[in-house]
Amino acid sequence: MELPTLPAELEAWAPAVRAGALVLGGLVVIPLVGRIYRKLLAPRMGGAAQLVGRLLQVGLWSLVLVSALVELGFDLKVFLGAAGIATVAIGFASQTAASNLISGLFLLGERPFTVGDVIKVDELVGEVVAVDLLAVKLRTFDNLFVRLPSELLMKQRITNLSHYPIRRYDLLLTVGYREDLEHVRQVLEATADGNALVLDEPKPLFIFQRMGADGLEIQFSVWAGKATFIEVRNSFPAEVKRAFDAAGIEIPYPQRTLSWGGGEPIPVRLEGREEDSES
Amino acid sequence: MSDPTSPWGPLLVPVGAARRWRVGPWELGVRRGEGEWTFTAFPLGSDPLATELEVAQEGEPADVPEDATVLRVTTAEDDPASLRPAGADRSMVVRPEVPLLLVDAVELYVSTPLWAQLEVDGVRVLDLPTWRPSDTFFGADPTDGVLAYAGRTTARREPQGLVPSPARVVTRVRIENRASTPLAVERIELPVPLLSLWSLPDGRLWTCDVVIERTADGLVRPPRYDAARAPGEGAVRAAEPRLVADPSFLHRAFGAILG
Repeated sequence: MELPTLPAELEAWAPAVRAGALVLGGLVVIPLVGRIYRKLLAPRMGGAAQLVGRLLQVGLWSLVLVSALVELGFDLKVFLGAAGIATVAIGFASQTAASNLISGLFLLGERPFTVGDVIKVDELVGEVVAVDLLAVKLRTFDNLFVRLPSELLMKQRITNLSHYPIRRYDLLLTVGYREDLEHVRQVLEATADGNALVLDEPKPLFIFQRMGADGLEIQFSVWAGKATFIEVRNSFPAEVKRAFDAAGIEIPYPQRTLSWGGGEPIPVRLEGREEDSES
Repeated sequence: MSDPTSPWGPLLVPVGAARRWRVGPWELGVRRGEGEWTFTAFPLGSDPLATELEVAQEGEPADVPEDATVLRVTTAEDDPASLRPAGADRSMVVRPEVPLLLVDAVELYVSTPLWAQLEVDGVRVLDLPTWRPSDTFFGADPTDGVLAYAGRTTARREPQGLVPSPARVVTRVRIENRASTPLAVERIELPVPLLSLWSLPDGRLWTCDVVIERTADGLVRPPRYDAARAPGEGAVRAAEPRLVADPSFLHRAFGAILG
């Protein structure tokens, strides 16, 4: 059976119609693919979901547009040749972007953090709001938007503050030399016990650090959930201060003992008062 | 739940009046205005096992602390309010009084704090613990585990050994050891959000029973419980579980149930 042929005047429009049909098809199908991706695949892809979605969209649209251009009679060899030259030119001009791109791929593969994590890069702390190929975007706690190039993140030390479910807070303290360390430990443990946000387990840790210049230096470490860590960090030292005050435990000021080799006491006179006193 | 001596049920407060409830270590003040309910809730004292119970006493609570929870709810004039019991919103980790070495099977009775849920016209407006337990972590190490509450009270071999506080709910936990080696029970994580609550004829609240089994090859299975099964005769369902059982939750929670 022979297929009906179009009249010559309509035949001339056929490539344009086919190209238009391809673009129209793309307009319908690509958003549909995007929706399916967001619903079924994106939830399993973590931080890379946003980026993969964009790449998928760009790839599909490139395919549609190239197909449409072929239908319109464009010779792709010319495009490919031009693309090769352009690639070399752009490559020279965009070394930094390429470096960021490759670093971004490594970061996405390694996944040291995902969207929603709180990370520390150098001295900068913030919540990750987007992980893209070229850069990672952070929102700092003073509500600043920070764009960190992926290349920088490959070179810098990144600390993920919310990777594990709990965190340890180390409180460094100095108590007077006359204090009984066992009593200090009991007061600290009772204070930790009284704070509902301080975890019962892992148990608080009492470490004697050293006999310092001003007193006995100790470290008391408590654990808290990552969501309540800041609250514990703010409330616990104040509670320790109150408990020390109540128990009469001295937190010494910096102090120095002056020695002059014995003999008679050095006379000390207070200036600026009417009745100067001497001792 | 229409027992006038029970704190749970409809809050019978006339318009323009104030009433107060005392449930163990927790106090609730309720003031009803025209189209408005005002709730004031706070912990009272330092004993989580307090046994005081006062229902719908006239007047406002005295000595309301600054950090009390205060909530005003506006509503249609006749919308009723009610107070409902609930289990903890996280698992509870409890320890036997002394380390327990189990040869075959044992029944333990554990009491955990109740949460109080206030509803206006069937809509939950507050969900508060009658005693805020301390946080704890249940896991093999600090990198893998779940946040839970620490049950500071101990598990008992007999229910009579538990303090009969109206702000506590009792769970019967049966631990079965089918292995040839003894089982050291150092701590137990109770999946309280997955358990239903029941009111027994004596007015005390119980959850459905929990069974934990260690198989002959030494593996501890996820706990078995039947939320639809009453823990005793004459028990009336008092609250549904907060969560529907999720196998991954059970896996996380009980991967190392017996520490």
